[in-house]
Parts: sequence; C-alpha cells; structure tokens
Amino acid sequence: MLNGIPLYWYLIVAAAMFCIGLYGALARTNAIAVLMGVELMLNAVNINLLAFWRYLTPESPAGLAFAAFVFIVAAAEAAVGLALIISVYRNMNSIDPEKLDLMKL
Amino acid sequence: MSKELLLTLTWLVPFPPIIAFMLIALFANKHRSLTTAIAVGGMVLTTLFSFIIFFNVAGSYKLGAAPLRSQFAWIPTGSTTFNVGVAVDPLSAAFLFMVPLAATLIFIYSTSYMGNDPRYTRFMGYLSLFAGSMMGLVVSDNLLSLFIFWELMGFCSYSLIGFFYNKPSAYRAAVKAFMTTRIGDMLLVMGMVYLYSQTGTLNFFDTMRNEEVLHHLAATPAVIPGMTAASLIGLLIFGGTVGKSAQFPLHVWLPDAMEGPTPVSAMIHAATMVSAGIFMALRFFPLYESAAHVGDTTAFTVIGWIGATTALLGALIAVGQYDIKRVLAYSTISQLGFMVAAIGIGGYIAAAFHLLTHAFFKALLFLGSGSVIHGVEHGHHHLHAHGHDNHGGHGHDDHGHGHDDHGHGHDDAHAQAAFDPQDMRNMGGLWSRMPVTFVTFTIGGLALMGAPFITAGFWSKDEILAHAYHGMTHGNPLATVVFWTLCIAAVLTAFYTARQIFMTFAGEPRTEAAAHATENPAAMTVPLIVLAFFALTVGYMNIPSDFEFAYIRFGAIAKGFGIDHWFGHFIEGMLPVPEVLPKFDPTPVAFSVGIFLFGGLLGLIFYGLKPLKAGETDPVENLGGIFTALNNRLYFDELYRKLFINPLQRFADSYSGNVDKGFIDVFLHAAYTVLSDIAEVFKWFDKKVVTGTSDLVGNVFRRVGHEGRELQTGQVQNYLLSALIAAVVMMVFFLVFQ
Amino acid sequence: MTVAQIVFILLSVVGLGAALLVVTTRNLFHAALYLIASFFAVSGFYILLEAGFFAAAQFLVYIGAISILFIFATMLTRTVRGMVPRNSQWQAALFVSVILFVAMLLIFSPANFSLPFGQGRTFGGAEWQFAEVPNKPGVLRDVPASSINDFGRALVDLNQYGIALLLSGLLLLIGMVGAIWVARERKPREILAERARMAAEEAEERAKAAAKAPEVSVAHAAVAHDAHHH
Repeated sequence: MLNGIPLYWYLIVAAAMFCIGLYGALARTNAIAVLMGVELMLNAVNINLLAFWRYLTPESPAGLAFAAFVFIVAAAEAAVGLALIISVYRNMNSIDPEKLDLMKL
Repeated sequence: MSKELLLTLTWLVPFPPIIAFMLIALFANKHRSLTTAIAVGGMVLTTLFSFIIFFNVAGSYKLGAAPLRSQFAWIPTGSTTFNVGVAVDPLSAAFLFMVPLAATLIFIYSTSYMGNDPRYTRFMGYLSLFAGSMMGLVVSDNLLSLFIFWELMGFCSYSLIGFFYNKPSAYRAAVKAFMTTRIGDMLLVMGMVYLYSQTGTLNFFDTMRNEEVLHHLAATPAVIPGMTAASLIGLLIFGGTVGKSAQFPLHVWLPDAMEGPTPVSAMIHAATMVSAGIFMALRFFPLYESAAHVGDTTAFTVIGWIGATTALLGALIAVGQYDIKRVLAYSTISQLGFMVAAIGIGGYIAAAFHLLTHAFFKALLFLGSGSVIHGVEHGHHHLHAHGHDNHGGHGHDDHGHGHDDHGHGHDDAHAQAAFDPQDMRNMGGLWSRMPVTFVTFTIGGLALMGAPFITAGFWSKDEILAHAYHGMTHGNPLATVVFWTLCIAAVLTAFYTARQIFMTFAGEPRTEAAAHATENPAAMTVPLIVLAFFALTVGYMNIPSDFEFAYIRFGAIAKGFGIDHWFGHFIEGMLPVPEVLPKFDPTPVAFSVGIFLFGGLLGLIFYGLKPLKAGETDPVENLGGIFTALNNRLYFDELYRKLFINPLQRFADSYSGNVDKGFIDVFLHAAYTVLSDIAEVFKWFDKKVVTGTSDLVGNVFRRVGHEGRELQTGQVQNYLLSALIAAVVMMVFFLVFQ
Repeated sequence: MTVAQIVFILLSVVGLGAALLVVTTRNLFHAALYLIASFFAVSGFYILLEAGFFAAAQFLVYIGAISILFIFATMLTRTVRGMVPRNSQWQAALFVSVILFVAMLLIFSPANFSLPFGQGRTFGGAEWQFAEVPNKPGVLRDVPASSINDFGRALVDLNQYGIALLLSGLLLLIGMVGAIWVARERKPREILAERARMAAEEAEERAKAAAKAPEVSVAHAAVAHDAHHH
C-alpha cells in the first residue's frame, strides 16, 4: 500500500486503459487512430510494469529495464508506423484499414 | 492297299473342300487366284482320295457284304452310344467315282465362267462347302450324319441359288427351294425318328443289310393301320427324296432354282444334290422290298406312281419352255422321275445305273447351256456396249456383273426390252460359231434322248424300260403303268431335246447377239469334252451278258472285255437278297430304239429341216391352249399359292395381328409399364437423394470454402479482433473452468 | 482518504477520460490532443509510483516526440478532413474489449492482488512464486536511493542489460533509417513512375483474382503539390 493506494488500483486503471486502447485499435477507420490506440495500450502496459516493480521488487532494476525497453520499442514502432502510413497514403490515397485489404485472397 | 489306309482316306474325303471353304472365307476373300487355287486344289485332293478308294474296291463284288467301316461313339444314349462314322460300300464307292469327277470339272468350268463376277470368291467358297458336304453325305454310314450333310447341302443350295441376291427373283427362288425341300425334310426326320425308335440304330449296314432288322420292321404294324413299319418308315424317308429330288408334288423349286449361276445348276441340280435324294432312296430300298415281301406294297406303289407321274409331267412341261435352262430343269425332273419309277418297280440296279449316267450327261448339258449363254451374252455385249471386234476365243470384257443375271446389268440404256441370252428364240446358228460347245452339247443331248448303243443314256434308260416291261409281262400292274408312262415320257424327252438342240445350234442366227457369239476358253470347253467322253462310254460298264440286238452281241463283246454287267454285280451287293435280273428280252430294246427314232424324227421334222428364222413362231405354239398351259408350267405354282401359301399367309398375318400384337403384346406392354414406373421411382431416388446428397456435399464444401474465404478480409483490424476473441475465449475458459 | 489517493483518482479520471475521447472522437486532430492529455496523466502515475525517471522519459519521448509525430502524420494524410468514423466491426470490438476488461477486473481484484500476496496464495491453481522476493512478505518495501544508479549500471553492464541496450539502439537506428527511406520525398517523375509501376502491378492482380481494386486516381498533382509544400 503505497500512500494508501493498493496495487490493484493501478492494475485496474491500466487494464481499463488497455481495453480502451484495444477498442481504439479495433474500431477506428484511420490508421493513425489505430496507432493511437496502440500507444495507449503500450502506456497501460508500462503502468502495469512499473506498478508491479514498485510493489513487488523495488530494489531490482529489472522492472525498470523492462519498462525502459518498452519505451524504446514503442517509440521506434510509432515512428516507423507513421512513416509507413504516410507512404501508404501516398500510394493508395487512403489510410482506412478497411480499404487496405490487398492481402485478402 | 491296306484297309486302314483306305478308311483313313475315306475319313479324309469330305475335308479338303470344307477346309477350302473356311480358308477362302477367312483369308482369301479378296484374292481371286488364291481362291481358285484353294478351291480347285481342295476338290482335286478329294478326287484323288476318292479315286484311290474306288479303284481299290472296284474289283470286289463282295464289298456289299463286307463294306469298309469306321465308327466312333458320338452321343451317349444311356447304356449304349450312338455311333457315327464312314463306310465304303458299293453305292458309296460308285458315287465316290462320279461325284468328285463331276465336281472337279464343274469347279474348273466355274473358274472361267464366274471369273469376272465381283463375288467370285464367295461363289467358290460356297461351291467348295457344297462339294464337301456332298462327299460327307456319300461316305456317311448312318442316317443322322447323312441328314446333317443333307441339310448343309440345302443351305449351300439356298446360298448359291440366291447368289445374285440383289435380284428379287433370285432370292425368292432360294427361299422357295429351301422351303419346299423343308417339307420333304420334315417327313425324312419323322422317318428317321421312327426308324430309330424301332431299331435303336441308324447305321445303314446294321439296318438295311441286316435281314433280322428288316424282317422285324416288316413284321411290325405301323402307327397307320394297314401298313407295316417298314413301308411307313420307307415312305417317310422317301418324303425327303420327293423334296430333294424334285418329285411331284414338290417339284416346283427346281425350275426356279435356275436363277442361280449355271455351274450351280450343273452341280447341284444335275449331278449331286438331286442325286442325293435318289441315293438315299436307294439306301433304303431293302425297306420297301422287305415290306413288299410280307405283302405290303404300299411303299412301292406310292413310289412308282410318284416317279411315273413326275417323269411324264416333267417331260410335258419341258416341251413348252423357251429358256434353255428351264428345259434342262424340267428334263432333270423328268429323268429323276424315271429313276424313282424304276425303284418303284424294284429295279434297284437300273435306277442306280441311270442315276450315274444321268449325272454325267445332265451336267454336260447344263455346262453346255452355260457355255451357250456365255457366248451369246458376249456377242450381245460386243455388239451394243463396245462395238469392237474383240473376238477370238477370249472375248471376256470385264463386265462387273455375273452371268445369268441377264437383262438388268447392261451399262448402256436400252430403249427396247432387256435382252435375254437364255431364251432359245434369241439363239440359232451357233453350230459354226461355237463348235466345241455344239458337239459336246449334242452328245449330251443324244445321251438324254437315249441314242442307241453309242450313248450311256441308252443303256441306262433301256435297263429301266426292260425292267418295267418284264414286270408288265409278269402281271405287275404298277409296272404296266410305269412302262407306258415312261415310254411316252421318253418320246417327249427325245422330242424336246431335239427341239432344244436344233433351236439353239441349227440354221442361221436369229439375233445379232447370236451372230456375234464366240466360243469359250479352254477352262470351259475342256470339262465339256471330258464329260462328253463319259456320256458316251460310261454306259458300257453295265451291258448284260446276254444282250444282243440286231445281231450284234453286245453282251458277248462286253464279256470279252470282262466288264459285262460289272456295275450290276458290283452294286447288287448292297441288297441283302440280290435282285433277280430278268433274262434278256429284245422287245424293250426295240421300244427304246423306236422311241429315240420317233421323238428324234419329230424334232428333226419340225426344227431341224427348216430351222426357225428370226420372228418365226415356234411350231409348238400351234398346240394353242395346251402350249400355253405347258409354257406356264401347268400352273402348279399358282395352284400351290392359292391352296397353301395364301391361307398360310393370311393365318400368319392374323396370328401376328391378333394374337401376337393384340394379346401377347398387351402383357409385354403392361410389364413394360410396370417396370418403367419402378424405374421412375428409382430415377427419382437417384436424382433427389443420391445426386442431391453428393451435390449437397459438394455444395457444403463450396459454401464453407466460400464463407471461409470471407474471413480473409485482408483487413488488419479483423485479424486482430479474431486473435483477441480467441485469446479472450481461452482466458475465460481458463478462469472459469479451473 | 490520503492526498495520494485523491491525486490518483483525479489522474485516472483524466487519463481514462482522455483515452476514451481519443478512441471515440471523430476528429483526428482532437484525438491527437487528447492523446497528449492521456500521456500527461500517465506521467503523473509514474510519479506516484516513485519512478521519476520514467515520468521524465514519458514527457520527453511520448509527449515530446511521439505526439508530434502523430500530429505531423495527421497533417500529412488529410483525407476527408480527418474524419474518423467507427468501422464496421465496432460492436464486436466493444464487446470483446468489455469482456476483456471484466475478465481482467476479476483477475486483478483485491482478492488476488492485495498485499500480503504471493504467500502461498494460489491463483489459477498454481502457487505464485517470486524470485528475488525478500524474506519479508506482505510488506511494501522502499525504493533504494541508488535505484537510478543501479538502473544505469545495469543498462550498461554487458552481463545484464548491455546487450539489450545496444540492440535497442540498433533497433532505433534501423527504424530511423527505415522511416526516413519509406517516407522520403519523391520527385514528381519518380512518383509518377512509381504510380505507373504500382498501377501495372495492380492491373495484373486484378486480372488474376478480380480483386477489388483500390481507387488509383491520378492525383499526382495533389501529391506534387504536397511535395512542393513539404
């Protein structure tokens, strides 16, 4: 109980944010919006990680390292994803995931 | 030569021509020279075998009592077997001489006569089969195998008469021949069955040469009261002869059989097939005799009357015919009547003798007529179609249609009526244009007329008359009838033969075609010459030892050569009790000579002194209504048609219409309807259920695939959702069920 | 009710509210702004969790870089005035999300996740074990003062996370290069050539599978316009 906040409060908030981000990733018709949802999910994950680190193993840097790498990867992924979206937009003139269905049979 | 070798040869005798037939049919159908080689080769081989056998047994007068026999068990019949085999007894030996010789000559003749026919190979094939079956009939030692070959010959006759099958008259004639002889064959089968049931065997030697069997048969009363089994069996079997040898009333097929090619007429209807009927009657002679011995003369009476009637009938109708082959056909009928009449009065040797001589000169006459027709036809063609003088002994143009189908195969359109090269009115003057044919034909004609002492026909006919005269003077009423009838018939024979010869050969040609007729090649004339030789000489083998006429002791001369009455002695071995030969009486000889002179003179007067010119009416026509009746063959065909054929036809139509179509077919249609309804049910089942199921399976998969394919939207969010749902489900599952 | 709790509740309201707005608003630009707000809230959570470094990192990375990226991308891909309607599967997505949330609620419930915890408590049938759990269960421990130092050393130490750090550096490099290359500016002719090539490929694919061809309107003028502007 850190300052009166039990662990599970963080977990629930993170879960909620994760699910919100998930909905956004699934239900939006703009690829950038989908990426926004993905970022929300990553943030929720980070909250989860750091909450567990603080409440369970605060003396170990492992949790911090994990969270750090999540940051790094999220950033890289956002950058590349947005670049791709721009490229897709230039070629297909649309970034609606529903329209980008060339991979179907 | 050993008995075993002779018997082996006897077994082999029928085979070469039959094998020739098979080879021709299977392999040589398209090759003429090969067919010729096979057919003639087969026949020559058979002649060789037959002659070897004949000349080995000819010296023995005891052959009848102890014939060469060889049998094998064929059909098991309970505790016994039915045996079948070959035998050489005097009668078959005599035929072994005559039949292959005549057949070979006819074969050689055919190679030239039918050489241009497009269906030549078929002809030779059938002819071979026919010759083979005749030989088989001759060497058979039992009635069953004889009957088998008899029927086979009937089939060959049918095929050969109807050889020009595109002509309606030809195929109708073939059917008529077959059907008419069938009636006789039916009687023969009944006789065969009756004989077997009475004696348990059909072997000739075991029945006809066996006194016990004969006595038994003569003693047994027949199923028809008043007759003995012997005479009934004999008459039934004689029924086959009536059919096959064209006796009255079943004679109607033989004239129509002239539709076939001339070699066929010569072979089948002179030398062999019709002779087979007499041959069989001769084989069963002991039956008639044994019946007569116990007082039942029914068989002899019937046979004698039929023979006499036929002889007279044939001769009468022959007088009124214009077609050269028709005259010969009726002449054959008449002469067969002579033989049958001879049998009827007990003249076994006389009948057999006349059978042999007749075969030779009748074959000669038929082949000669063929030669004449051939020559006249060629004259006609040369004249109308091609118009070049291509004469000189080989006047064969490739006409593409055979002979005897005259009148319809000319390639140039004739405005006038079709030219009939067989009509004697279109001939005349051929003596100079076809000399060999003329001489040989005349020899044959003289033999038929019974020219005294020089022709074989005289000796055999005289023997019959002598026998009849003897019977007449010894109180046999049948013999009286026979004698006078045969005398009249012989006069008519001489007359119509003379008429035929003069009309054909004498005087000036009556048509352009006759004027351009040519002699035929050697393949046709040489057989004529050979047959003419036999027609002259074969009679000398049966001169009675005490024969003397006009102070010439013919018998003594013959005795000097050692051949007096050779044939008679040889053949009488066939009978269990030898025939009692009458002592020589010159009266019948005088009759014979007188008949020949009278008939011949009549012919000479009307036809020879002033040969007919073109357009002149035939003197015979002066008989008016009689002539018309004779020309129309005494309306027998019309009578039969009215009496038998039309009612049968009506019955058949009625049966077919009412019973077959109306009654039986109803059941068939009902059955069909039921079955077809059942089939409908199955069809529905098949369509709906079976096909439906299989279609359903296919459709299910297709739709599953189709729907399943929809999963692949290509949209990322869809895939993500699917993955998530899967994860959630698993998680829920994990949570709830743990 | 402590101050921390109140702050927590406020932060969660802001964060979750902003998040909700991110995923529901139809205006893409507004969504980006709401996202920034959400990041702020998350940063506050990190402070509450005594992970100050990460709070700062959150500011720098997310708010400072990623959000700007988002705004740039939004501007560069303006289609139909940046309207973002719901897509066709939103109900299913909503349902699944709610289910997931409920499931996670059940898992992350006080029954399972109050301290003391991990002491022979079973969850899902397994005994939870923690490595490095000191021998004082049920007591919240303090963050040592040298936490950041340890963290820094751990990142550099090749025996610990040094390799991972190097790799992530490499990852960032590759990502950077890739992003630059993929989204590079193209000359008009280049763009036309690329368009032509892509059109040819598309026609081929359409001929093969009769696939739904996306609209390839030749709007190279607009792109060239953008390129010039860029």
